[in-house]
Amino acid sequence: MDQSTVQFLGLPLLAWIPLLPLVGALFNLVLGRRVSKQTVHTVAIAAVAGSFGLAMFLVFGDLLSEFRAGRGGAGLSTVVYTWIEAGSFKAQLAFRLDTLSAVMVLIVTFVGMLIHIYSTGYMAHDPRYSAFFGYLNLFTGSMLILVLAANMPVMFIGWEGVGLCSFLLIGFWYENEAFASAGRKAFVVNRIGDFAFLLGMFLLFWATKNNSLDNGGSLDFAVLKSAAVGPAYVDVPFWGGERLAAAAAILLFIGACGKSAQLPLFVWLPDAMAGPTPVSALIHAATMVTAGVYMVCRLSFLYAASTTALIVVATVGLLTALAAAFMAFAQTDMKKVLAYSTVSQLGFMFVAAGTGNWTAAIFHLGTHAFFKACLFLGAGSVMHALEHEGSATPGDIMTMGGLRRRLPITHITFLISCLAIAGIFPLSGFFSKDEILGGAFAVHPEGWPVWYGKVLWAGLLIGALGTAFYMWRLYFLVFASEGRSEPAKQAHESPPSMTVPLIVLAVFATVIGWIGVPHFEHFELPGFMHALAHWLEPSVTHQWVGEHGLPGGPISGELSNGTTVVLLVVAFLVACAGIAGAWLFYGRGPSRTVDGWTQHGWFASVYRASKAKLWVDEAYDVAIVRPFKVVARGLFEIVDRFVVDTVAVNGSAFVIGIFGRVSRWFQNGNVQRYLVGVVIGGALVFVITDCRKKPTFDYTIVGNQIQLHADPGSGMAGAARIRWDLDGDGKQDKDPARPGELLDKRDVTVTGYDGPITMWVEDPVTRREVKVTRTISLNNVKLNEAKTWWPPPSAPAPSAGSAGGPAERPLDPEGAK
Amino acid sequence: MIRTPLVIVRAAGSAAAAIAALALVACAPPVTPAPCPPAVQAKVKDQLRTATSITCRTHRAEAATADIAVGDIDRVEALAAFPDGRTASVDITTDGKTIQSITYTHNDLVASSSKSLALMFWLFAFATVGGAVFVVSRRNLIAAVMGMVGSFLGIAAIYMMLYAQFLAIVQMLVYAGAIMVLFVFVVMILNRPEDEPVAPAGRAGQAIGGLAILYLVGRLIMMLVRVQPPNVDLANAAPLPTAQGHDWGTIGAVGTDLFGPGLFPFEAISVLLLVAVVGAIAIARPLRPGGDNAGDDNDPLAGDAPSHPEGGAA
Amino acid sequence: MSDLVWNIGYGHFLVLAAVLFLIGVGGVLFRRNALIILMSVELMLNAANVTLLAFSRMWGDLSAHTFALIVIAVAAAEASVGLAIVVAVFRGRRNVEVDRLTTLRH
Repeated sequence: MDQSTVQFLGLPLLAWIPLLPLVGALFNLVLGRRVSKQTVHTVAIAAVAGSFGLAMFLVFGDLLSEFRAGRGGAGLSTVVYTWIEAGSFKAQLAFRLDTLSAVMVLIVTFVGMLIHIYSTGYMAHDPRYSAFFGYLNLFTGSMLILVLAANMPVMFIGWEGVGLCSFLLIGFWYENEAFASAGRKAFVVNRIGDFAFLLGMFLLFWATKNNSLDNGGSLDFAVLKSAAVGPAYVDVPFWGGERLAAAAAILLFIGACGKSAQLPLFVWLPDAMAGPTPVSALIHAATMVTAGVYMVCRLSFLYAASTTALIVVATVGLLTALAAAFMAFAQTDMKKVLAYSTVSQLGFMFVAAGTGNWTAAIFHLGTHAFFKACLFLGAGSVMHALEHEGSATPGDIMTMGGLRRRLPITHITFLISCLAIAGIFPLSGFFSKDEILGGAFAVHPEGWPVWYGKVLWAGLLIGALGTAFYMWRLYFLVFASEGRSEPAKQAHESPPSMTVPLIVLAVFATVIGWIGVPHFEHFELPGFMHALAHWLEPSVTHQWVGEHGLPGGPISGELSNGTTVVLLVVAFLVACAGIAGAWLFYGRGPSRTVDGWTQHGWFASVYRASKAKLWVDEAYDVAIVRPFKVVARGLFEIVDRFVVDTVAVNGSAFVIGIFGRVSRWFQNGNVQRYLVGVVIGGALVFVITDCRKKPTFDYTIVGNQIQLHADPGSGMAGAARIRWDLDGDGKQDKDPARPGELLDKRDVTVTGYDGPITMWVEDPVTRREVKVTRTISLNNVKLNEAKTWWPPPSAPAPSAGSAGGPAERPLDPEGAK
Repeated sequence: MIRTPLVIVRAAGSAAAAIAALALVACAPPVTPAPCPPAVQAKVKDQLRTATSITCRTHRAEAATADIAVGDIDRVEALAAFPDGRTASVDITTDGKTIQSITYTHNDLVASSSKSLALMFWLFAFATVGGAVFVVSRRNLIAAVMGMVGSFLGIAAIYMMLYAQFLAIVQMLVYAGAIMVLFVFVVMILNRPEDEPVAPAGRAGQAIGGLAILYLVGRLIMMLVRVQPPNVDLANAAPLPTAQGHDWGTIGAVGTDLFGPGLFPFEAISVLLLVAVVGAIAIARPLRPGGDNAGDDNDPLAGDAPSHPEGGAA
Repeated sequence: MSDLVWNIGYGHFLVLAAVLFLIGVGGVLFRRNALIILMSVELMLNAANVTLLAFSRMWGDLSAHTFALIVIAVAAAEASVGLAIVVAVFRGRRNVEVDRLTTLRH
C-alpha cells in the first residue's frame, strides 16, 4: 500500500480526485448566479477535467508501477481522517485506487468531462444554468467518492450522493409536475434499494466484528477481503442453512437493483427521462446506474463465496435483460427506447457478474458507457434540433425521419453507436457482449446446475437479438426514409459544443473493444488485447470460496478455441439477424405491416403489453402506492390531526385555559375574594393532613413473643377505644386482668402465637370502628405450647423479654394512655 | 339591652374566680415522701409541669394470679405537690416495663373549683362567640357595634382565666373603651346605620368561602374533642411568679418585660401611634373648601367654608 | 365527653380563638359595609391575641404579653386610620359599600 506522497493543500492527490468536482459544485451552487455563464461552465469543466488529469496522472504513474510490482490489488490508498469511531466500529474517510476503481475513475471523469462540454451547448438557454452545472459537478464528485471508497460507509456516502443528485437532476425542470414526480419516484425507489444496502452492510459488520484483525468490526474492503475475515461470513450458517455471505450478498444486490434499475426496482429509469438529456447520458447511461455493477465487482470475494447469491444475480439480470428488451419494442419516445435499452444492458452486466465474470461485466460497463452516452447525446442533439424548429414533441420518433441528411454528424455517430450496441465486429460492443456470453456458457462453480450456464447463454442470445432489433428500429425510424413532420424537414445540425463530444465518444466506442479480446489457446495475441483482463485480475476474485475461506475451484471454466470461435460467430450472426429484421420492417419508415399486425390478433395483445411496459407501473400503483397513500392519509388524520393537533396541542392549550380561568377568578382585585383563597388554603391544610395516618399497630419480636403497640392514627390519639383479637379466632378477646371486660390496652404482648392479629380502633366521636389485621410470623422460632397474651406468663415463660426483673429496673417510658 | 347581661356575667365570673383562688390555697393534704422509678417520675413531671415534688409509693405484684405481670411493680401511686400547696394523686399501672395507664385524681375542692371555672369559661366563650356572630350578622350597625363590645368583654374575661390580668384590663380599656367608641362616632357620622347582612354580589366566592369556613370550624372542634389535652391541671396551678418577684401576668411583670427587653417595640409603637394620629387627621379632614373631598351640602364635616357642589366622584 | 366540658384545657382556648377568627373571616367575606369589615378584622386580631396568650400560659413565657399589648396598640392605630379612610371615602361617595369602590379595576 503506497501512500501517495504528493500533497496539495494538506490533502494527498488521491483525495483531490473527488474533491475537485465538489469544490466546483460549491462554487457554482453558491456563487453561480452572480457570475457569467462563461465562468460557470469553465469552473465546472475545469473541475472535472482536473479530476481526469489527476486520475490519469495517478493511474498511469503510481498505480501502474504498483501494478507492475504485483500490488495492483492493493493499489494506492489514502486516509483523510477517522470519521466514525464508535465502540468497536471504526470507519475512516479513506480512498483507494486499485485497478478496479482506476477503470471506473477514468470512465467517470472522461465521459463526465465530455458531457459537461456537451451541456454548455444543450443548456445554453436555460435560466438555471449555474445550478445545472453545480448539480453535475456534485454528481461527479459523489460518483467519484463511491468509486474510490475504501470501505463500505464511504461508498454509501457516494451511493446516497448520486441518488440525491439523480433526484435533483431528473426533476431539474420542476415546474412541470410530471418531471418533479419523476424525480421523486427515482429517489423513493432508490431508497428501497438503499435500505437493503444498509441491511447488508450491517450484516457484514455484525459477522465480522469478532473476527477482524483489529478487534473491531470494520467494513473496510481490504479487511473484509482478508483471509482472516473470510471464515466469518463463509462458515457461519445464516438463514435457511445458507452461508451468511449469501444473505449479505443478496441484500447488497437488492441495493444494486435499486441503483442499477433491475427487476423489480427499474421503474424509475424510464420516468427519469424527464430530465435533460445530458443528465440521462451521464447518470442513466454511463455512471450512476453502473454503480451497482461496480459494487458487486468490488465485493467479488463475497459473491464468490455464495453460489446462491451468484444464481440470484444472474437470474435477475437475465430476466431484466429480456423484460426490458420486450418493453423497448413498442416505445415511440426516443429516450424511452434508450432507457429500456440501458436497463437491458445492465441486465447483461449483472449476468456477467453472476457468472463470476467480473472482467466481462466491467468491460461491458465501459463500452456501454461510451456507446450509450453517445446514443443519448445524439438523441439530445436530435431533440434539440427539432425543438429549435418548434416541435412540440421533440422525442416522438413517429414524427422524425430523414434526419440523416439534416444532421450528418449526429447521424454518423449514432450509426456507429448502434452498430456497437448491436455487437457488430470490430466495434467494442461485439467484444464486450461476447465476453459475457462466453463466460455464461462456461461457468461451473460448485452448486451450479450444469446446464444453467447454457440457459443463461441462450437467454442472453435472445436478448442480443432483441437489442439489435429495437435499436435498429429506432435508427431507421429516426434517420432513414423521409421526414414525417415539418420540424424534421427543417432541422439542422447542432453546434460544435454538442457534436465534438459525440465524435469523441463514437471514436472510443469503436476502438475501446480491442483491449478485451478473449484468449485463444496456442495463439498469442498482442499483449494490449488482453490488457483489461490482466489489469483487473488483482482486484477481483477468480476462485470460488470453499470451506473456511479457502479457495475452491475456478469459477469460470476454460473454453476450447473451437467453442470460442463458434460462440463469436453465433453472436455476430444473431446481431446481423436483428439488424436485418429491423431493416425489413422499418427500413423505409413506420411499417404498415407491423401496424396491421398490431390491430388484431394475438400480436396485438403482445404489442399492447410491450407498449404498456408490462403494466409494471400500474401494478405497483395498485399494490403499493395506493395502500400506502391510504395508510398515510389515515395516519395523518389520526396521529397528526387528532392526537397531535387536537389532543396534544389544542388540548393542552385548553387545559391551560381552564387553569387560567380558575386563576383569573381568584385574582380580580377584590380583597374579599383573596380572603376566600386564604380560607380555602387553610381548609386544604386540614383536608390533606387529615388522611395520612391510619390506625395501625406495630410490633417487635422478642424471642417467641410479639410485643404489639397500638397507634390509633391521627385525630384519635387520646380517646380511641382499642380492642384486640390475639388468638386468631375472630372474636374480641377478654381482658384477663379485669374479668368481664374486653382487652383494651394499647400495648399487649403475645407469646407463642403467630398468625393473624386483629385490632379494632373505635373513633370516640363518630363511633366508627376501623379494623386492622396483620399476620406476623415468628420465623422458625419454636412455638410455645401455651398461647398467652398480655400480660406475659410468669412461670413457664421460656423467653426473654418482659419476664422477670427487679423493681428497680427502669420502666419503659413509652406507651402512654 | 345586650349590655346588661354582659355586665352581670362579667361580675359573676370575677367573683367565682376569686372564690376558687381562695379555696385552692386553703386545703393542702399531707405528702408522704418516697422515691419514684425514674420513668414514672419523668412521665408525671411531663404532665404536671408545675408540680414541685412528686413522690411515689409502689405496690408489688401478688404472685397468686397467673395473669399478673411478672415484674415486682404493678402499681405506682404518685403524689404531686404544687407550689400553692395543692396536690394531685397519680395512679399508674404498669407491667414492670411499660406504663399501662395513668389516672390523675385531685382533691375535691380543687375539683369543684375546676368545675366552676369550666362554667365560667363556657359562659364567657358563649358571650364572645355570640358577640362575634352579632357583629357579622346584624343589619343595624349600632347593634353590630354593641355585639362587638360584648365580644370584647368576653375576651377580657378569657384573658383573666389565662392569668393575663393586665391585658384583660387593657383590652377593656382600649378596645371596648376607645376603639369601639371611635366606631360609634363613625357610625354616627355616616348617618346610614343600615346595611344588608349579606352582600348580594360575588355569591360564588361567598359560597366557597362559607363552605371552607364551616369545614374549618367543624374540623377544629373535632380536633379539640379527639386530641388529648396536654395539661389537665390548667385550672389548678397558677403560674410561677417572675424572676423579679412579680406575679405572673400582673402589671409589674408585663411592665418589667415591656421596659426591659421590649423597649424597642415600645418606642416603635409610640411612633406608630403618632403616625396613626397624624395620618387619621390628614386623611379624614377636608383638603380645602370646595376641594375634591369637600363633599356636598349634607356633609357634616365640611366646615363653614363655602363649598360648591362637585361631582365628587373619587 | 364530660371530660371535655369540665376539664378546661389549653385546647379549649385555642379552639375558641380559632372559631373567633373564622367568624371574623366570615364577616369580611359576607358583608359589604366597610365598617363591619373593619370590625371583623378587629375580631381576627383579637382571636390572634387569645391564641398568643393561651400559648404563653402553656409555655410559661411572659414576653407574649408584651407582644399582645403591641398587637392591641397596632390594632388601635389601624382602626383609626381605617376609619379615617372610610370617612374620606364617604365624603365623596355618600356610601361605604366596598363593592362599589371599583374605580381602580380595569
